[in-house]
Amino acid sequence: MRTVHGFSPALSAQRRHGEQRLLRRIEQHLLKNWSLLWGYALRLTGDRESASDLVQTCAVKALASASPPCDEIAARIYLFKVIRNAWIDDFRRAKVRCDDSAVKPLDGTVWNYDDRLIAEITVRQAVAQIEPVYREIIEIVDLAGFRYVEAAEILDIPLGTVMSRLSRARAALLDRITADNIRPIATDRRHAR
Amino acid sequence: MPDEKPISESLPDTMTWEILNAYVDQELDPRRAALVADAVARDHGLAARVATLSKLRATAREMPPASHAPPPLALRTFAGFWSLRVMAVAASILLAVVLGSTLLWRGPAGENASRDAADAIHLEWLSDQSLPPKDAPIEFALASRFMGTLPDLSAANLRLVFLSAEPVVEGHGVFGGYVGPHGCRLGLSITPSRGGDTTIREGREPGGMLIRAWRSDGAEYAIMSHSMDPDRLDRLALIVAELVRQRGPTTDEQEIALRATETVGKACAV
Repeated sequence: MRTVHGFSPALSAQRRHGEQRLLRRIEQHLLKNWSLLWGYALRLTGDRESASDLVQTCAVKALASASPPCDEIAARIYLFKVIRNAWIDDFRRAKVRCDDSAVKPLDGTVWNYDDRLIAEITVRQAVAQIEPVYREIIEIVDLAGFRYVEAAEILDIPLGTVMSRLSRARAALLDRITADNIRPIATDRRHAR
Repeated sequence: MPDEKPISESLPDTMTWEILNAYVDQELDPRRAALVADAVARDHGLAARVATLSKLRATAREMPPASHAPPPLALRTFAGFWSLRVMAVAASILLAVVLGSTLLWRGPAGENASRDAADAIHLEWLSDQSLPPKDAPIEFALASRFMGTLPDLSAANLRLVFLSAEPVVEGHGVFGGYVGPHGCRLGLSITPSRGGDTTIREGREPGGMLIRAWRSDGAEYAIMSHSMDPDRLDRLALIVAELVRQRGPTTDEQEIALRATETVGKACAV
């Protein structure tokens, strides 16, 4: 038996069943990555309200997608791409371009970093202070845990750019954490109070 | 994107800063990874860079999110819950507050020279009226094992801008200096302690500095300020006590409570 549209009821039910399975799978990927997506959105937007809007937008877009990836890693990459594209489209297109061109090369040949100063609070504040383009690569690779090739796909940049941008981002973090801001406690001031 | 030059021209040509980053991230193929490992084993400078990179990477990867994610596709209403909770805790703490100008968070004067020197620096920092630039890096004196316990108070508009620690005896504490948007200064001192009295004690230094101190998990905590309203300092003490005890990401309720501190009492007198 065929309908006027050319589909049998059995085929139609099968399709509905397939769509529901697809939706469940997307939901699972969303829930599994929700905290990471939220953290990424929070760093992109800088405030909770905009981040909430962004992750909800991401969820809506992902759930509406006709052919989301099945593989777990591919799905993570896909969700991060969705969130980034939504952010660029809706929030910060002009700013992204501006920041990208504002990045200056770093230099520095003397290795004087003190590893004791690297702690959660200092890294967190340093991440908040570096250029957005660097903050984003730290977010993708270090916080979300993507491989270089996956980061390249999310950010839509060549693999070599991922390497150079990440290395410079970490140099910027170290500069923020330790550069020229260490002072010893002077012993002759011990009776100062 | 402009040309992104490697950071360190002093490295050997084949061991660029980029390559070391890729090595730490385990992104090199086995042959190149072996070359780097061999070079690192023979070169102390390279080994220092790899150690720093490894620690930075590990710290970033273990960093919990700044705040909890909201539930997916759901609205949240928890402001009422928190305000009730804060009121209940505040009421119980109020009953237990001990008045006094002498606090246990600091030992006898002159007992430890480096400790005195550090305290002098902390007092000097707290007394400074200038407003550090918004993008200024954190100013360090020295580091301590307690550094990881300093809470993030940015939701209360308080930026960590100063850190110091007493370096001579291992295990000595840390002092974090926070600044508000208008220059209001708050200090948080964390020092080792064996006591377990979690009651928040109230005190005032001869110079007029207000102090709230308590003990928790082997440490003595004290927050202090010259210019902050006493009620606001009380509220912050409650929240900071909870933050340092849980050592996890700030919850939504805590973030709301931190934000609300800006409306408690009078504005800072700076």
